[in-house]
Amino acid sequence: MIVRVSTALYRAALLCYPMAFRTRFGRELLSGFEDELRGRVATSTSAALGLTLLRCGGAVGQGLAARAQTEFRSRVLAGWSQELRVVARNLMRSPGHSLVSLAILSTAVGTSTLLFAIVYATLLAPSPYPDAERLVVGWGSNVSNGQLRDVVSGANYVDMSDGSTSFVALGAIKGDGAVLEEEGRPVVVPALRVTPEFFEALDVPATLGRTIDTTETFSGSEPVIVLSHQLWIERFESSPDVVGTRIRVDLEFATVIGVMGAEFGTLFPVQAYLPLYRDVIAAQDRTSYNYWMIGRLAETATIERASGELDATMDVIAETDPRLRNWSVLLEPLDTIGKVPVRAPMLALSAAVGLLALVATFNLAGLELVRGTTRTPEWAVRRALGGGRGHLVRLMVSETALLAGVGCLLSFPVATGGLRLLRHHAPATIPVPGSAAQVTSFHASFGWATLLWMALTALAIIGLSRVPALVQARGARLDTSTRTTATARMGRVRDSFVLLQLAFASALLMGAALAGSTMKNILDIDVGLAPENVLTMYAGNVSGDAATRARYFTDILGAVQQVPGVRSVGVNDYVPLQSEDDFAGLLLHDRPPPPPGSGLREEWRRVSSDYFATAGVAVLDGRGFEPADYTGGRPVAVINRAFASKHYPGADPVGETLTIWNGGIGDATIVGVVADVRRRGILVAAPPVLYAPFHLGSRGNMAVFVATEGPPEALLDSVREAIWSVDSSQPIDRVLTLTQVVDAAVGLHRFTLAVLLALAGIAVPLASLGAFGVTAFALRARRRELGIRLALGATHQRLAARVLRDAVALGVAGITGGLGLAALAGSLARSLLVGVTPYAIVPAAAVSCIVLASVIIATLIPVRGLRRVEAAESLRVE
Amino acid sequence: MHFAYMQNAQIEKFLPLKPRVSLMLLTLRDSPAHGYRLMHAIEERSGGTARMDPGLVYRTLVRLGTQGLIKECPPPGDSTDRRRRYYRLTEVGRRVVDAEVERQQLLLGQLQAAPEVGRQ
Repeated sequence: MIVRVSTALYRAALLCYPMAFRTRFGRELLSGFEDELRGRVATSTSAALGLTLLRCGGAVGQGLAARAQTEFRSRVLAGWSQELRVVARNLMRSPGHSLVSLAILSTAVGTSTLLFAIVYATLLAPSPYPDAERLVVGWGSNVSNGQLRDVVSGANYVDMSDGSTSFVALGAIKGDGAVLEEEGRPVVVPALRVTPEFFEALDVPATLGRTIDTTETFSGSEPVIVLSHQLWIERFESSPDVVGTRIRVDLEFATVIGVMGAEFGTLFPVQAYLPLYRDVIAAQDRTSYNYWMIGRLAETATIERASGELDATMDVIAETDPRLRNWSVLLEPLDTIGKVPVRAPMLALSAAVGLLALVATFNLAGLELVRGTTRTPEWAVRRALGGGRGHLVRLMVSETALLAGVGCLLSFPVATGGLRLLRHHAPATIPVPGSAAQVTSFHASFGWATLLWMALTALAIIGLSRVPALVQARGARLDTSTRTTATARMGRVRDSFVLLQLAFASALLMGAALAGSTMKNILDIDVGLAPENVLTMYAGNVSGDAATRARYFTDILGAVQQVPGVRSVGVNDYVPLQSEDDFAGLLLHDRPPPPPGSGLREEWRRVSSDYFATAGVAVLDGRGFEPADYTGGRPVAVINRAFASKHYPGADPVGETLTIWNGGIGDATIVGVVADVRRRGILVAAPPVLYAPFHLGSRGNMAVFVATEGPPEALLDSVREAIWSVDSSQPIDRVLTLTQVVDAAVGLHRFTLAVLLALAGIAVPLASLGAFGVTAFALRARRRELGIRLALGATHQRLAARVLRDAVALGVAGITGGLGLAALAGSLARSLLVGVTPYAIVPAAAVSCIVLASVIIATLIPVRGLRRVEAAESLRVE
Repeated sequence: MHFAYMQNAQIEKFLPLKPRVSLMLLTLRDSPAHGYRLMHAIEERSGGTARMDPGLVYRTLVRLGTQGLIKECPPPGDSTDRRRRYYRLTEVGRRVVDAEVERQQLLLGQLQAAPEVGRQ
């Protein structure tokens, strides 16, 4: 009984196999099963039942798999390979059309892929730090003095980190340079000085060795260094044995204790990490602001609670030190700090790339419609011969897939070439608004997500561009009685495609025009410098007392002045426009006293006597510094115009006196007023600045400015040798011409302009090509109508004027739409515009002229062919 | 020489063999067999760790036949079972299974020569 039932069941399960397989093996499988079953029945009924279930299940699974395989082979593979052959033949038949389509597609897909690679890596990719939502950055904030994202002092940091329970770890960091040695010469690499809590907060272990621990952060402890991944690769050739070696850092030997991973440096573009000595920073003056804080919130803590806790500590400090009364702490999620500054440019570029993709889509759709109309008879014949709609759709899909595949391959060089250009021209870092901090401007990654995006974009562009042609193919009949209406309808669709292309291209061009106006306005800004023929570099890492440091820079000034071709030479604490902060505590004499407890704090710079002349800073009132000011006697000071307007409005500040608390300088007399020099980027107005002679509390590292007779680059080697002739162990770094410094300050805007111009440069000719193709085609399709008009007495000129009028109307409609779109986008990205509104008349007029001219030219070429239309001939042709 | 190279290339393209296919071909190297015999032989040779559904055995046999590694043959002289189809190795099949055995032996030799993980 059980054998009979089980056999019947197995026989039924075998039905799942394809017929051919059953015919060949059915009996054998069945008899094998019966043999097996009899063996099991002899053992037990349950064993027989188990075997039945197992074999029936196997037969169903295997049968269905075999069936699917056979179906796939016979239908899909064979069918599609045939379709693909037909499609490839079709595409080869009109090589010009196919090549143009592929060029348009690969440009659109390449640019969109590149942008996605950047947007994904910069804005969307998961943070390299675990539980990044709990990471915060802490700024010192003095809103009443306009300092929103400033630094905190070491002593205040120590108190805050000791008195807080909201953080798992709260570290302090300071951007700095580390002096390494290369071929016997000192070189400076960007570095971060950090407390161990910095690594603890970010919670990323070293990939080799370890990070800094608490025993290494007290003065006198063994010097150590942690290398970035990049430095490890470039300087140490990825040697795994680097950990434990001793290298020269800042003129002494330090032990390499670890190497960080490549991802770790995403937000901090530095090459090395050095310890901050906790006892040293704790002993610093409470107004010696130097550090940012990076913290990891405890699981139960919130930003608000942590802020409240830190502010409470600051309040306690302010009770004993009234100078800190207006200072609080601003905590922000670390994740947003890296993303906020790049969001607006990314948005603008995404919109531009999106517009280009749309122009490309409608362009291809227009081309396809033109080609589709010529292919209508082919569709009709295929349908008449029994080709179902499915067959036609499959042909279309094959064509789409083939074009998209080839388009993807061709877009690789576009994307990678674009990335190379970006790496070369885009600014490496972008300032965080309202702060001296800089973050990496963009990263790019070509991973699976990017490849998927590339494939989807290609399919979307090609797929969308085929929809109108598909709709057209639906109506394909051998019967020609409906062709005229269909052609007229398609004509309107084609016109609307041209209109959309012109609109998107105009919007893109308007974006470029607005970026151009912005650039012009920025270049017109007076930065307060005469940057031509001036070389700048940072020199020195001099330790020792102020007198030793001052002597070093005095000797440098003398040595460089002797170099033939040097006009003048000066030093300043920093190069302007690079967001450096340095404040002095001041007391102005004969002025209303500041509110009790809130000391006056302004930017200050220490400079040499020839600095103003060398950098081209104009002396507006009184005098600049003279050599006598550097030889002792009562200190003098020079202020900038912003300082004068803020503190001496309507009065002559020359001759006024003040006290400079920093460096024990004491009382000084103001001897002159100089022009404002932009400090924090080119768009931020210069703050009040006080200049003092550099020998009063000179820094160990200063910026040297060298004005030259000819091109400054030519003198670089001689200037460097002159500086090293004073002390060859001192480093020289960040060598730039002052022109490059100004250029770098406008880097982001220049870069946005260049990209928009490039995209508009592609989109406008593309849209014109669309207009040309459609006009040429429409004229050919209207040959009969034009012939009749000629026969009825119309002249060629009138016909040409009519065609041109239609094209101009289309152009005007497209431009109007495009300008509206640009105005909308511009008002969303106002932060990128300087001195120009999205509704500006001049750029709009220029864009209108360019687009309209290109439409007219694109129309005139085919219209010239109208002259050859003869009434009788065109009627005969029909 | 050229011919030998072509032959080797022809063999190489089948390698490495999947474990169950190796066991099937090894069984067939000893003597011709039918599908059910092969199914049991795989289980025996692998010590019970590899099992195949009879349907999969037959589908694999079809594929190996298409690839030219095995061929249907008359039942051996002593067999009286006319319900079953028997298969034997072709010359190419024999060389493929020999090459696979050689490859596995070489790999095993290298693995045995390698220092053990964790050994100082």
